[in-house]
Amino acid sequence: MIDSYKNINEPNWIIEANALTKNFNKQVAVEDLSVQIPQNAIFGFIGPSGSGKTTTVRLLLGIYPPSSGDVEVFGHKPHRFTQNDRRKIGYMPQLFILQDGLTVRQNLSFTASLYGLIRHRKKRIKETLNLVELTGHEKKRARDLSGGMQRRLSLAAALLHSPELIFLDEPTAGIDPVLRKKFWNHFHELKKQGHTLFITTQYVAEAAYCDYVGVMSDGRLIMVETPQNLKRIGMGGELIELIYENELRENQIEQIRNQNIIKQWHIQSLDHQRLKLIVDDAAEVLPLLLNWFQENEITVKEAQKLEPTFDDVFVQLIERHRKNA
Amino acid sequence: MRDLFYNIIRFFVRISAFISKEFFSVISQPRLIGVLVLGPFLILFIFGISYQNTYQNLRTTIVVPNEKDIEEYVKRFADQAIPNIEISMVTTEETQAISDLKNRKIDLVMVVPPNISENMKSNKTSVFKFYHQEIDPFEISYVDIITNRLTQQTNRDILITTVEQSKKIAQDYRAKIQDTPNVEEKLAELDNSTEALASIDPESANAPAVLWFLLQSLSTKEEISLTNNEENLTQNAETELKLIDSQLANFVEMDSKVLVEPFQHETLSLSEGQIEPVHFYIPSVLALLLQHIALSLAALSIVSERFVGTMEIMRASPANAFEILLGKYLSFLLFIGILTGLLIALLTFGLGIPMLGSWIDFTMVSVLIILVSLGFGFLISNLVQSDSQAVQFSMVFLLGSIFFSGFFLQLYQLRWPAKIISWILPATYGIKTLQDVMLRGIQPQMQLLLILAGMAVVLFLINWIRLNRLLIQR
Repeated sequence: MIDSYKNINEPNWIIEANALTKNFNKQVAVEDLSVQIPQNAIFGFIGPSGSGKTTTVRLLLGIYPPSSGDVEVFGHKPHRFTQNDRRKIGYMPQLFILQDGLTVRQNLSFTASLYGLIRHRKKRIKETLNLVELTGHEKKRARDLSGGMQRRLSLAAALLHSPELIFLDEPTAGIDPVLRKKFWNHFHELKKQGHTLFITTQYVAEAAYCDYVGVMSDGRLIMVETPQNLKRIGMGGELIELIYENELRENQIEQIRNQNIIKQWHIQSLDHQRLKLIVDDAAEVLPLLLNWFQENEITVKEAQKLEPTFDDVFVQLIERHRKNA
Repeated sequence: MRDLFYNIIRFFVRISAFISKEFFSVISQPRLIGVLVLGPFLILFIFGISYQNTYQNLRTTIVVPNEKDIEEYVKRFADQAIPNIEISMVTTEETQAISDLKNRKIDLVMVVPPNISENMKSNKTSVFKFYHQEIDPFEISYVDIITNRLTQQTNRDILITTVEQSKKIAQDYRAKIQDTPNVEEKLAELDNSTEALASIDPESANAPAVLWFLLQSLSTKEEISLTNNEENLTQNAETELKLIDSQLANFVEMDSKVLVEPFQHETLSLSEGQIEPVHFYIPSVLALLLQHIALSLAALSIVSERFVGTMEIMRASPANAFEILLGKYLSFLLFIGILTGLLIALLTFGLGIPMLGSWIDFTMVSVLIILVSLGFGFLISNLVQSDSQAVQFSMVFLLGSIFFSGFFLQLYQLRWPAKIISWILPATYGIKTLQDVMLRGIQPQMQLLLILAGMAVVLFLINWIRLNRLLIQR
């Protein structure tokens, strides 16, 4: 169990995968993936293009049987799902693959029938259209919708039957930031209603919206953490930035480089005007640093703890993983 | 129990998903429907109003030998109206005639052989030679029929002329019999007549009609000589002479044409209605059309789901291969059924096609053709790797059906290995059974319907297994 899950009391795993591997011929798409995903959470799956995110989703949906390893969703092997199991799952694929010759309403009606939705069909379609802001576009053919509207229609189709577990494969790809934010607000709303969401994304910043984030690279799951822990682990500590009053001379720079002010520090960047350091605990290290600079007659204009972006964290993680590999 | 009830309801709801999806997908293309309904109707309509049930008039040059009598006779012959023959020229120049044929100025050259009289005297037939330049097997057969008819007509004309000449001779004999005062002289005249008949030149009075007359009269004379050895010879001979005279009178009075051609023919169809040429083709076109539409729609259906990606939605959904396939079958059956209804309505009111049989039989046959064709279409769809391959397979199927289904070649004209292909094609069954129902007004052969039903079931099972495998990717 990952550290982040220790806070969960009596975890109820909706997905459990152990050493899950999928090969296509001799090509490894997903390798040795082990993960547990608790119920009623937003699980973000982040990784560069081709890292195996979609293959993992398909393994969890039972579209692909695994080459080796075990996986259970709702306590059942996905490629042996019953119709009842499948009814509890919603899926929004990465590409728009609904019927482009059908209208928005006809597409949703098709999906409703596909999932055997009997009761309150019209009401659900109306609610979902409202949710994805497609009300008023019911009679438009899918092929006549914009890219963003098509994504919203796909999302509506995935949510229509109110599934317990929702797989969203890059739901925010290609849509504007305003709508993206709305999507995430809605995902949080769904979580509040008791749904579990498994969301893949290439927008690293979206990791901040998730309860847990899994980072994939080259078919392997590098880590699963909360967004905060991910930043810390990704950067190897906390980031401190110091800006000097005057430009440093070369010998002063050399002096800083050779000093061992604190036990564990890592100089991320150092030049004539500023210093960036990664330390274990910024609050503890910052006074020590300022003291040292004062003793060495270097005037510090600004000193602050920086919040690294998820992009930086992600790059760090991927590079470190590739270096180790 | 409640769960079971809802599961059954959901089963039908999921099937309805595919019925409505496919149906709305197709009807969202009004041009496609226009082409599928109006296209065949317009083709049949234009065919109906433009088709002429006539045969080609063969422009013919007759080449005669350089013999005066023959050329005159042929020119007289050429002046009469001969069906489907248009005599362009009577000439002695064979090389020029052949050259005209090669240049497509004429369609046929008939060469009359020389020395016809000598051939007859030496008991030989003379042969007319016909040259043509047709390449179409049907046109070659047509030329063969026409040249045969021309030869027969020539023979018939000669026979009629001969009979007319024989009648003149017979009238002369009658005059002599009636004018001669006593029996002895009449008998002597009869003897002379027999000798005269024997000496008739076959060139001027031909054998068959004269032979008929001779046989009649000589057999009578034989009887006279056998019975008249007794004392009442004179009285009996007089009686027999009256008989001969009466027979000669009968012969003279008979129509020469009836004598030469005592038999004509009359062909009657058991079919109740008047079958126009365009009506004959409608069941075949309909069968071919049903097969082609069903096959093409089904062939493109699953392959496009596979390659566009819609199959992924289905894989993740509760719908299973049986429900998907059944939904698609029902949807296309409904759609093609409506198309057929529209087309039949147009054909009935627009072209007045006959429906001599029962509409129930027609519906049953149509449904079976559609189901089997859908089966083949889904089979193609499960096997091919792209939309274009599916289209190509459909076209190959159509082309095969045109040649092997009995659409324009009858099945008896095919050798056995090709007949296997014929009996695999739904259109073959369709053409046979729809012709029976629509044009003959009889029930379709039950064994053909059973084979179609069997094929539909087997193909559904194969497609179900194939789709099941496709839904689980490896």
